[in-house]
Amino acid sequence: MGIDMTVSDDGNSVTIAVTGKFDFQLYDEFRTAYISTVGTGVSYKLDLSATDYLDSSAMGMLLLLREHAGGETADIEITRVSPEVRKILEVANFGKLFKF
Amino acid sequence: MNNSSPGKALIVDDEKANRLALKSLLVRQGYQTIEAVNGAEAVALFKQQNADIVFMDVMMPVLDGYEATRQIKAASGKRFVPIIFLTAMSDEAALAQCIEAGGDDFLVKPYDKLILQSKIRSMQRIAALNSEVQGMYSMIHREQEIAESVYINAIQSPNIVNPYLRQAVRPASIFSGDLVLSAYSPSRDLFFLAGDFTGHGLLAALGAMPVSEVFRAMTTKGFSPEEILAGINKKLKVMLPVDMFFGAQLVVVNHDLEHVRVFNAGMPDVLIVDGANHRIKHRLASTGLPLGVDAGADIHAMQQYAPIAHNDKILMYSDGLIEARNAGDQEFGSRRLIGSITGAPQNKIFEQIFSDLDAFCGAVESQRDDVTLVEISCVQDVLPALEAHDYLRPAAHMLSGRGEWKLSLRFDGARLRETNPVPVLINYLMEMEELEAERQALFTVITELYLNALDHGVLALDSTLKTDPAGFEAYVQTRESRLASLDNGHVIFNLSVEQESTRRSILLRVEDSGQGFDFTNHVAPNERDMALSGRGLVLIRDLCESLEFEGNGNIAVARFSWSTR
Repeated sequence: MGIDMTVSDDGNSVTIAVTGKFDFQLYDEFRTAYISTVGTGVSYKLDLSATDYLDSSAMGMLLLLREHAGGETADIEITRVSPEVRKILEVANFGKLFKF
Repeated sequence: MNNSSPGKALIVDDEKANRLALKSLLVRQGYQTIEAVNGAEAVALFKQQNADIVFMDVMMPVLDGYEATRQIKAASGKRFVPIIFLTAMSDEAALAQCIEAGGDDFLVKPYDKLILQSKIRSMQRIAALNSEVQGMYSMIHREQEIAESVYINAIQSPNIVNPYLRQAVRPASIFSGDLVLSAYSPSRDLFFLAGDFTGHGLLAALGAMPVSEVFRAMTTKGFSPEEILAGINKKLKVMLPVDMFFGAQLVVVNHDLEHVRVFNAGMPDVLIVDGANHRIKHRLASTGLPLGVDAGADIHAMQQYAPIAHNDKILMYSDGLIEARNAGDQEFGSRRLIGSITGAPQNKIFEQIFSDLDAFCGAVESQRDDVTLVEISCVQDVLPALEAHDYLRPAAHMLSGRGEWKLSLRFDGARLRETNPVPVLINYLMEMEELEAERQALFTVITELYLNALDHGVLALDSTLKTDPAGFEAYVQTRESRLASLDNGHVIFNLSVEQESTRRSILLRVEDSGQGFDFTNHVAPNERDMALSGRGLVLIRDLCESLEFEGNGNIAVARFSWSTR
């Protein structure tokens, strides 16, 4: 359960893996993780292969990460998404903001 | 307890010497004291005179200290009254029983005075903290009550009450993150907005206020659904923190009851169900980002159309409905929802969904998310009655010294693409004239005149397309593509307000740059030639004193009048 972040040596690519339920209980942990990264210019990968549920506050956290990563110019890819999580992201049309 | 005294202490002991020793110590600390010689007397005295702290012996005749403590704790309710046991018994089980019975601390006799004093001080600190928490709790409770009543008055009360509009919001906490708003436009279209803020509780309810204000103000003024949603979207983008947003469904039931427009921004599918056989006729999925995320979102691109038939049911719901879980952590899911709809007795879909949901969830804990369900029956009575335009009815308020005035407005190509001049015109007229009672009729007249000029004039659309229900979609698509690439053409409004004895009238002259049509051969006054003139012109004829065409049919002249006495 929780957030696991790996940063490349040059700091330019960051992978954040979320295990278990991705909801408001992970808010602090998620924020603490991404806030330590540079943000703009960094290429982010969000590994959701071990995420079994995602709620609207998790989508809010994705928006916060996007803002941190430069908003319109953010480079964020959501990878290894389960069909259930994909459905939730598609209903919200998050494809307009993130690659997944 | 006041500032000068720590309060009243109740001393309970069957031995006088013990009571006296304790009394002298407490009096020196500023306490007022009362005394009881057994448990029963202590309970009676406490109920009668109250106390701020109690010193309790254990072994006493009539009623022992344990039972007296239980009764005093019960009698003190939410107020924290510390009870300190003073006992000669020193075995662990007896001392544990003191705490078990509700005592807050104990001291073995003979006790050290200094230790007793520090225990009293510690109890005073706990009591102070307790009353602070109590105070804050009741303040929060009071504030929530006030906020709830503001919420109900501002957001729920103005909603349309109509037996053909069913809606239920079951909040997960006092305030729901789900929001349901309804209003009629001046042209008698039904606007229904159902939405879901991130999270729930007070924070989510906070966002509901501006949404509700923008929705009502713009709907009743006659703005288009795109304009309303764009207004809400911009406002929320500015107001909400980045991680908060608003999933929304806006359904607009056209007053002709032949089609609906749906905007779905990040919510579950809107369903249109055949009222007779409960077949799902249309599913209108989310086509846009939730509101409050992207200030420049293309609302227009979200628009979807669906034809409707008499007594079709439009269902809107939040994800809390399909994601509701039972004790076995299974979701209610959309398959069960469809099962409820198809299996429901006629006109009982709404009831069936809730009874199936309750049966499925059983007596399950607390509901995790807000659940919203809306059902709109597509029948004539779901719309407001078309008020007869009563020429003889006196205006509500009379203005003296009414002058005559004229107004001319011209909209060219690109401007027509972006501006809807109707609400602006109506609001201007409302400010200039006492027209509140005629507002709805006048709105319909100006809207129909404008649409006639734009659609059949500037955009050269063939109205016969619309008479075939299947052609409606094609009509709408052609209209959109022509409008999007429009860069020439114009519509000119000439309004002149005139007075003749007790009657006042507006002469509306609407000219477009289109080809016009051969009105001399086809349109005679009062003739309801639906195929040619369309329903719009029939409506104008009904509501106006006269409607005529000039030029080559590209100029419509309508006279709308009302009595001023």
